[in-house]
Amino acid sequence: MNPAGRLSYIGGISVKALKIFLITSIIMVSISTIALAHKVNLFAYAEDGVVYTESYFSDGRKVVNSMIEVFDAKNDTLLLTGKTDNNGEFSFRIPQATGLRIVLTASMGHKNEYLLSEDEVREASSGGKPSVKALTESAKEEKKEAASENLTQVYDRELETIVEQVIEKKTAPIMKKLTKIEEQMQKPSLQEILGGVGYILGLMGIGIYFRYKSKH
Amino acid sequence: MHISEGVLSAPVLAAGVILTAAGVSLGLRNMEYEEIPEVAVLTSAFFVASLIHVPVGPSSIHLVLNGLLGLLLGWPAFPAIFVGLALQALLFQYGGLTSLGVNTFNMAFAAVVSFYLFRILTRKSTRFMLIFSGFLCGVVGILGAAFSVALSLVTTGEAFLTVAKLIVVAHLPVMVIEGVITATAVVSLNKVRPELLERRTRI
Repeated sequence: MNPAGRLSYIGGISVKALKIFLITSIIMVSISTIALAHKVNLFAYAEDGVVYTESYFSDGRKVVNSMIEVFDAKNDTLLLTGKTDNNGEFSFRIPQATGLRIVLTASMGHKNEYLLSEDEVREASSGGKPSVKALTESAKEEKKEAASENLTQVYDRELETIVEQVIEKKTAPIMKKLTKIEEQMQKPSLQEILGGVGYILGLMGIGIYFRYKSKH
Repeated sequence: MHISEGVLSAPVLAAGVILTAAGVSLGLRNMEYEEIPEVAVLTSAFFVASLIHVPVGPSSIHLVLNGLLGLLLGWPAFPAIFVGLALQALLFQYGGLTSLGVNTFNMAFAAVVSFYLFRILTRKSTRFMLIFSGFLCGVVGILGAAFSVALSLVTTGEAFLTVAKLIVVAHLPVMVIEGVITATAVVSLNKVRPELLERRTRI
């Protein structure tokens, strides 16, 4: 077969095949927006001395009744284990104020982990700080002894605690929303899918180039 | 089907890499110049197919299409599945780069098995035979892959029979769907491009 004949043969096959492929892939992509991805996602955040974790398959279904292990991020010692509940959630009191590596093992070889930084854990574990009431009481005691200039300092501390608690309350829904957004970012985008197909076509080009050169 | 990173032990991963390397080189040597576009198109189909999901029980499963790839490609299914899985690992973090070898072998080996089992049947072009063998080909692709996955998970301490049962049961719906899709593809290819079904092995 002469080179031109070969080329047109390839052209014939790929044009028809590409047409079929394009139609199928458009259908597939439109279906795939309903349910996507095949891996597990794990998210965690710490608040008020408790770590909350949420686990999803990335098509959005909860990972139910699967093992969660919590490790010290530095020396990898196992701190505690647990199982996700029917909402794919699992929470535990912060065992120690170091970075925590949370590992989720779902069935059939699915696994993922989430690293909770030391700063985040430390901040949340100090969330068990004295309540406003306790502070006020201690302030009262201090008041008796304290000189009047110290008093403003005490009020400042009181104010700080109140403000912190209010902020924490207000930001809780935002945190939840952020986790949701983070979850959505894990889903494959159309660009990535088309990019992958592009890579394959590029590889096809490279393959044809080298085979063609070595043949002629 | 995609085993995540950090699940398997080093010897299993190494075995997967070696077997996959052998399969890929066999596949490349078996790939004729004229077949490269066909391989690329089926690679793309495989790459996109994993995004279609069927929720089942505690897990989530997707189309694999390895039976169809095996039937149409034979040994070149190895490089095709390898490229598809590598891109899925890089772009979507399905599976992982370290488990790429094992994952490729699990799906591609089943593909090659269904090729040897069903290439004779598809040449008998009575309509019933085509549909029947196409359907079985899709089923065997998934069944074989599920079996391989269970086998590779044994080393993690999960009991083989339990895992194998779980994976096979979880993939029953996908087996049926894949069977239907493969049968449809075989029947329509037989009409449009019968030469695609007449692959000879050159090994």
